[in-house]
Amino acid sequence: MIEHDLLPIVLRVLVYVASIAVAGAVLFAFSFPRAAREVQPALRRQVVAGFCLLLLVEPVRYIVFQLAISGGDWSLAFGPVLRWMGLQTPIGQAAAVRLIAALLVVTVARRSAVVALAAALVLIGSFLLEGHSVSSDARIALGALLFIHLAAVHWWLGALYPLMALTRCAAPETLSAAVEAFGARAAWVVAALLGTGVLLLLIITGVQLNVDSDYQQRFLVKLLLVAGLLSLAAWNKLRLTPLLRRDPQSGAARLRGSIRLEIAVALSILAATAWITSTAPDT
Amino acid sequence: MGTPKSVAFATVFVVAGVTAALAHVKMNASVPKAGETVAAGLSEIQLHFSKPLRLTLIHVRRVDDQQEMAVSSELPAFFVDSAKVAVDALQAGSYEVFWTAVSNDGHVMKGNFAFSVKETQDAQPAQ
Repeated sequence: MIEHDLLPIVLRVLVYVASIAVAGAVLFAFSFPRAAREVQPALRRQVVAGFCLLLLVEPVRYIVFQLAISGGDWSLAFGPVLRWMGLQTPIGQAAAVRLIAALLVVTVARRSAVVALAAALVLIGSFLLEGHSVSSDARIALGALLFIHLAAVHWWLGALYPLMALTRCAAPETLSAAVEAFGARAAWVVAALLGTGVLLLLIITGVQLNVDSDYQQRFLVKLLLVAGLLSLAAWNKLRLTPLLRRDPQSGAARLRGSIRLEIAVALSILAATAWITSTAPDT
Repeated sequence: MGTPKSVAFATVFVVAGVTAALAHVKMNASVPKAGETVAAGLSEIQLHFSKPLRLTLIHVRRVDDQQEMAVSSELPAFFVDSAKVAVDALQAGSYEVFWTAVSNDGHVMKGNFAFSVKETQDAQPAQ
């Protein structure tokens, strides 16, 4: 019974991308300060681009939401009765929190790393204000798992662009050290990502496998894409990272290509996620 | 207890504690019921949902000529799990009710059901 046209799904993907760009850049700077100094302009570009995208997409989402609840009638959607409806619902409230948090990151990131980190965590947490976890009776447990899952996603995917920038401008030693450090921490982050992902899936489906369910079929597509992303990450860690030491020039070029592919797969995972969340777990 | 056992125990505990908690809002019942035939003169339609939601739009349409029936009551301006909609007394014909709402997690929900109105004596008395 949930409304799921294509446009809201596309807009949701863009919100994911914007959020990962903004909060992911902050997490990268916090996790790898030395490498972050090398790619400061790229990190800044990522944050500003993410914020601009959010600024563009959230108002469009509001309009689309208003039209969806009013049967496409503009005069009803923006008439006195329904005009502010979006802001009275979790969708609008989450969007407002996201915009404020992203604005904070853009304006204070250079002056205070701690405030930027806090704002980035609020930005990630804004996703807990809407969606299936809100309608669950076990909101706290689901919310905690979802927050860890989302923080891991932001950390990982938000680091891809800065890492790619590093392959272009950093000295071989710096690049090699940064990629090794990323690989070492990524192992833990991926474990958290998968662990919480499995728990969320079990909870959301009620530990019931139902291949006829739209929700579970869509989830299967996402799992296949995630498997592809993990394979790429494993290739980077086990093959390309050692190659960076042996042959820095060729290693950097091949790593750059692999990260590009990782970004493409990551985008398809985000699209699959938006597609999944547009349907109910019990359908 | 070793770490793997603790993790397994915590997993089972968390999953067991919160499963079957994630069901979306559904329309449980309506008056008239979906598919029911009622007597002419019906002037109120009731909708009952599994969880509170905010109704934003209700259309009542006569199927034969696709004519929109006037809804004469305001929709509740807050989250409700049931609502009554006043309509001008319905004459014989088939009708469809379309509703749009926002659930408490922000999803836009839509649904519809149909019923018939007859002048005959076998129809249920109108409410």
